[in-house]
Amino acid sequence: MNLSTKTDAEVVQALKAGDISALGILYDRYGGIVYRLALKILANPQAAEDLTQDVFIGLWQKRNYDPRRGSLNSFLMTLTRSRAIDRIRSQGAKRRSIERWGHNIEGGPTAPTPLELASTEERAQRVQEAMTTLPESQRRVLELAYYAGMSQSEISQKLNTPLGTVKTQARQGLIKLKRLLNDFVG
Amino acid sequence: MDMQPLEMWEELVAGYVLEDLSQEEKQAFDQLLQERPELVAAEIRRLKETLALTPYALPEILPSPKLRDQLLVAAQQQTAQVIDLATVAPRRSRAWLPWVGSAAAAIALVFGLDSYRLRQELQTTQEQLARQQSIVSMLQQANTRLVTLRSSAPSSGASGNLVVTSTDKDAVLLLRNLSPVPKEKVYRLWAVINGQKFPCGQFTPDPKGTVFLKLPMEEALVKAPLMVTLEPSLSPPTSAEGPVVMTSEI
Repeated sequence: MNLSTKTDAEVVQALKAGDISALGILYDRYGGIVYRLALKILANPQAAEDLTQDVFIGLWQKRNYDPRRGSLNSFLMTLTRSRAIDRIRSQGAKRRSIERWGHNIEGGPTAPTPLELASTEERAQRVQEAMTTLPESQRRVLELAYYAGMSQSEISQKLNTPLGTVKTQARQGLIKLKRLLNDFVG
Repeated sequence: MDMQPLEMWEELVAGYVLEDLSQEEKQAFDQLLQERPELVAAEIRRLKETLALTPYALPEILPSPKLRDQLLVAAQQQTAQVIDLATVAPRRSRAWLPWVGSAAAAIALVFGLDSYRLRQELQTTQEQLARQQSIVSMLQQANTRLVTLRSSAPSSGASGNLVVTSTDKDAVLLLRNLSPVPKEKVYRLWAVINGQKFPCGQFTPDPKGTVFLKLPMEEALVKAPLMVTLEPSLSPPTSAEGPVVMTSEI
């Protein structure tokens, strides 16, 4: 069986059966984007590579990704983001679980989406276009929340903007992105 | 919920995903969830998928090409660790080294009794001294084991040991008289479990044919037969196609 032409769910199934070549294929598909996100948050290439390896080793060891709960991309991004932010916040009383945006209410099973069928370059192009159509204020609030792990009240203080405004900007920005990327997210 | 404008419940779910709901909004969200759980769950999934796409807008910077190989080697090593070693074919236990009080005797044992010259060389730099001390420290533990490795071709004269203690996190591989290899070749150490080879590390000897390599301690290193093969350096780290140059003594 040529795994490289299979869907993510099928490759994950091979991974769960202990096929290490499946891990290589998933790395080829998502290693780059995991590294990019890790590098953005950690701002250190070596630390980003270490985290990238940890994320995939975790996928291999725990084999806990369930395709019915969302795309592999979403699973890996949530994991990478939460671990990266945990690392930069590894000290201080402010530490809190960053698994937010990661806790699940079960969704239905997901068939392979157009997202899976798109190449990394196509995804990048579409997402970059979508991001540039967001008003600057919405994009900035979303980026501070997502990459810096800041709470809405922290963002409100940083930008000297009322909390209510920050919330609205974040929510409206996310909803707009969802509509712009509708064909990717189902 | 049907009475609420679409925008309102969309915002509520977005607020839930972004974790910024006020107490009042939480109550409204809970009510919405009770009334239309499937609809809400689907919207949560869409919003989470959307957030997970945002990193694609980041500048494209690639990790080192070596990372893929490192990952696969590390994953293989994890596999070797979780394999039930009870299924490994029984074999004669290796000799336990008694407590060794003398550093010189320890080094001599590790390198062989004719290693006077090698010992002299080891003492020439701080780095080598540190290595020596770490080996001595390992050998001074009562629970140290040596796994002996010999050349598969008697004419080559390559030999050495894997030094393992039950308390150290690292095992140390010491080899000598190993033939130098061109750039495009590497030696790889394997643990053979149920006929399958699990990668334990790769290395090249120094110009004198000496190898000093620290490896993460794994049970397979002391319970399974070991072998060293010569492989193309660009081949996948899990590839064991090349000739066997050394094996552990049983």
